[in-house]
Amino acid sequence: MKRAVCLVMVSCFLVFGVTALAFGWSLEEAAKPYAGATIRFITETTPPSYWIEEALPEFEKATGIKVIVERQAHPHLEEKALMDFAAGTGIYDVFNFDYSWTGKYVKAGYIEPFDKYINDPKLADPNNDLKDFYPRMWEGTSWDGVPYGYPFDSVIEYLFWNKAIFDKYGVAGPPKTPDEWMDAMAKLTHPPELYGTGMQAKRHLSIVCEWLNVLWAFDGELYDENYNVLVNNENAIKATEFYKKMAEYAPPGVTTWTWDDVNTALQQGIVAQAIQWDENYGSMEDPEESKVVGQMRYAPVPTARADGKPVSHYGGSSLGIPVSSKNKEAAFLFIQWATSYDVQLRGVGKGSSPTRRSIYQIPELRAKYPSFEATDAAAETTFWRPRIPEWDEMVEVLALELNSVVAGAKDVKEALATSAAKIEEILVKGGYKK
Amino acid sequence: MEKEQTKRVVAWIIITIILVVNVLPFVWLILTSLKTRLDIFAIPPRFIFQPTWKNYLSAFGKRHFLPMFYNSLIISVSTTLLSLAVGTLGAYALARFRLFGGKHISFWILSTRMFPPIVLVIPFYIMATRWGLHDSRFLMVIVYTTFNLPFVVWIMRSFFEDIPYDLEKAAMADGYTRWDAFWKIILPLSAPGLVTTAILCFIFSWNEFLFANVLTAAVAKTVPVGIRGLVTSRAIEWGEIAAVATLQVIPVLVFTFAVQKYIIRGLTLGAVKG
Amino acid sequence: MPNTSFSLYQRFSSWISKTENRFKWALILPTIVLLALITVYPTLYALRLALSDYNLARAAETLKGYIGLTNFREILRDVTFWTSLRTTVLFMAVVVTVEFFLGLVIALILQGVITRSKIVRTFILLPMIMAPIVVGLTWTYLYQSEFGLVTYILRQLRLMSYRTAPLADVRTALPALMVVDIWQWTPFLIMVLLAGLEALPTAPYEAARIDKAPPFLVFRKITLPLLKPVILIVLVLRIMDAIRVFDIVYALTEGGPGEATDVLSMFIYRNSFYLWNIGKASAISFVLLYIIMIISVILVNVLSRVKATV
Repeated sequence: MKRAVCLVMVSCFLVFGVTALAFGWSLEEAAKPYAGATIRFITETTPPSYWIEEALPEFEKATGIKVIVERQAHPHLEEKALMDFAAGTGIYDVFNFDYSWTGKYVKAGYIEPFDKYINDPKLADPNNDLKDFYPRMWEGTSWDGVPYGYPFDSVIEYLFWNKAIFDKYGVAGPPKTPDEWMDAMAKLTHPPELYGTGMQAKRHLSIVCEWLNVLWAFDGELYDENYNVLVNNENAIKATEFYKKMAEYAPPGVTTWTWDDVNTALQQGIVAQAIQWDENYGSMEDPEESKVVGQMRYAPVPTARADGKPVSHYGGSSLGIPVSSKNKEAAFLFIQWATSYDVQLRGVGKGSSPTRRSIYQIPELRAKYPSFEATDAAAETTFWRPRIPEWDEMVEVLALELNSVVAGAKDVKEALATSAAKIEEILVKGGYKK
Repeated sequence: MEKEQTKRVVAWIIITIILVVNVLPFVWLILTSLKTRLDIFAIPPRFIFQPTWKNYLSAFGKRHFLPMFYNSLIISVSTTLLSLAVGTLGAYALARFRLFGGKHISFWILSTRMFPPIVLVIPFYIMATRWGLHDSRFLMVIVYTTFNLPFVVWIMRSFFEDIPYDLEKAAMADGYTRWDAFWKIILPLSAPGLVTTAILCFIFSWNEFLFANVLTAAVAKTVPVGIRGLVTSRAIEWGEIAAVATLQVIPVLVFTFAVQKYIIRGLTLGAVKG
Repeated sequence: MPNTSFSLYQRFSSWISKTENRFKWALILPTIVLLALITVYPTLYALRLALSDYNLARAAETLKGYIGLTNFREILRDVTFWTSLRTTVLFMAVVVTVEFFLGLVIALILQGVITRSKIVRTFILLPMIMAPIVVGLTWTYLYQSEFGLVTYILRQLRLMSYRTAPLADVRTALPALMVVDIWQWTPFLIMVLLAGLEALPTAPYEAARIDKAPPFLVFRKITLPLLKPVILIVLVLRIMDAIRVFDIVYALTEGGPGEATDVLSMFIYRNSFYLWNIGKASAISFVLLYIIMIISVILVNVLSRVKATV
């Protein structure tokens, strides 16, 4: 009898003990010391930010922490953030940063390493499965093995193609090789109502991102592991010739288009396909804005690579904490909440672009959103652009040269030669190459 | 006489052409503000369509433009009052008295018109954050006063110089103090100048974009910044841009209408009497 | 003698008017102090930045840096700077010239046909009282490659093909911008020159009429010289503003396509906020400032010298 009672009591303790451990942490409890604080979140004018703003009230109610959301378009986001960090004024507490800025911000000592928050039992939610984040995204905002943010926005660039338009003209989709791709473009160009492809060819980060996809598709590379510049080698030249030719099947004015304009063109059914960031899947299905609801499909960029690796371009971001922030713990709690499984899941279709593998496996979502399959496949193999601080200068060079090529002001070989020379100069100045 | 007639006809044709050219973009803007997305994207562009108030509603609803209008209003009025108060006094001193360094002050004032504004952005930002003024209406008032104050001094001086000094001499002979002469006699006489300058200051501050864009964020955001913010990642919201822009221009139109008699004088820094 | 009830106002009034010195300095001091605070300090700070290599992305290491005139030397050696300068000067020369001649011709035609209508005058001034950013966005919309009204009209008139759009083509982007600036500022020229013309004395014209002088001679020998001060001020103002043009370039093209519309202000902006090179950007601004000053001085000299020969 006594042994039975003992056993029951021990089991009870075990059950309660384990339960207490698992449910011991709650957001409300963790946030108690920070209630009443106000934190400022600077983020890009992209769909996930709108979703977070919509979901904010529940976070504020649970924690008593007020969150001010400041949205800026891509170049201005950094402008505001850098001015704050450089002056050390502590205006921003949560920073939505593009993974390619990681090197720059870590080296300048502007953002906080996350270890101490992850290992703090008072702040870290034990139910938060960090392994659920796609590894490529997690590593994207880590530096030297140390994480500096939680992946917030999965932004992968690949091919958006409109099945209805392809079917209407009897073109089989999606194209798998560059030849098929250009063939499809040619067949689907019927100006002025329809064009075979959109392009983000403005003198802007957008043209560099888009061109990189084509470069990689032709087995090209910016530079190798020893920082030897490959921007003007054979593959790059072929890729750029291809990219230039795409403009013949694109609407006039693409030299002024960024991803926003491409999005509008896709939504209005003006272009049959385009390379675009996956986070825009929601706007394709929004009946208020889009004429192509239910028609969009997603595929990797058509490739001619020898190793057959599917091509896509990662452009995602994570939420980090500036070193100058005065509310770091509150900021961490917000970041944890905003990138949690629950919040990311609920926001699907409302702007959220999840970064967690588990969400992309849900059958109902995969059925409802065709892009989920494509993103899930791409997330494992997606290509990165450089994450070093010198990338900004390289973007300036490439944006100008590539835009000149598409606008017809410069010849491909000349533009690539100039780019290669300037990039070489940049790498030497940065001490990467002797 | 016939020559006169032809000249008049030609002149009126020219005026009509000018009016059409000047006003058409604005009219197109107003039309756009009343269109649905479908109509905005229509090719060829549509002049006849079913109008909707959706864009205006959305601007004040979803896009929260009311606080921005409030900000713009407060900032513009405040900087106008400040610049006017300080600048008018200074202008009077420069107009009536020989001041040591007066010529230098004048040149200094003119040179603020020559400096590319962009480069002052960073120093202002650093000054602002050091004093905890980031993203505040107070900061914007100070920044705009930088540009308005020289302007006020320059113009009011021209108005004061137009008033003969005899008036003050006579007043002082009657027992008025210098200040009385200024405050009770000269100032009322220069009322048109004050009103014009006030309105030009207001218009400048109401329309300003670059500094507001860099120095404000969520709290003190002004309308021009907000309009540019409608160029979003989802789409460029032309309908809403047009709606807000239309509303933003209306006060300016009204004010210009009120003072267009003196506006030329104001715009040429007092050199040309309109 | 005003009645001596010694209110606060009266006390203030007598105090400040005590001596001429006190009066004039009391009035000018607030202006000087406020201006010193908000113009002198930032300008000196900007100069200090121009002599450093301050970079926002590497603030800690570069904030205290002092590199003397290195920025200036680098700028003068930079090809993109000279291209940008050329674009800016070209832009300024064309718009100011067109605005001036257009304004002068129209003012001459409108002279005498005075329209006292407030409404007409207000709407003539509309382009220049609209916020520059709104002007920029409106014209971006008008020039839009698919549904832009102006683009559509140009295509209907066969002046532009369906293969291209005004802001997307390197050959048409700068002219497109010039059109916007001309649209924006010609009314200013018209109204100012008109005001100037209407303020001219009638005596010389009477004499010319009696002498039966041909109109063109009248214009050259009488109107033009008398109008010189007005022309001077308006040209100086327009040149200073045209060289610093920013809002419309930023709204319409951001310097592209290629380098077609990369004016100096855009160049400065890009160095500041895309490359984070605050030091270099400040240096370029001072170069721009010197250019403006030089042009203004030259202009004033040339025009006053020509005046003397009349």
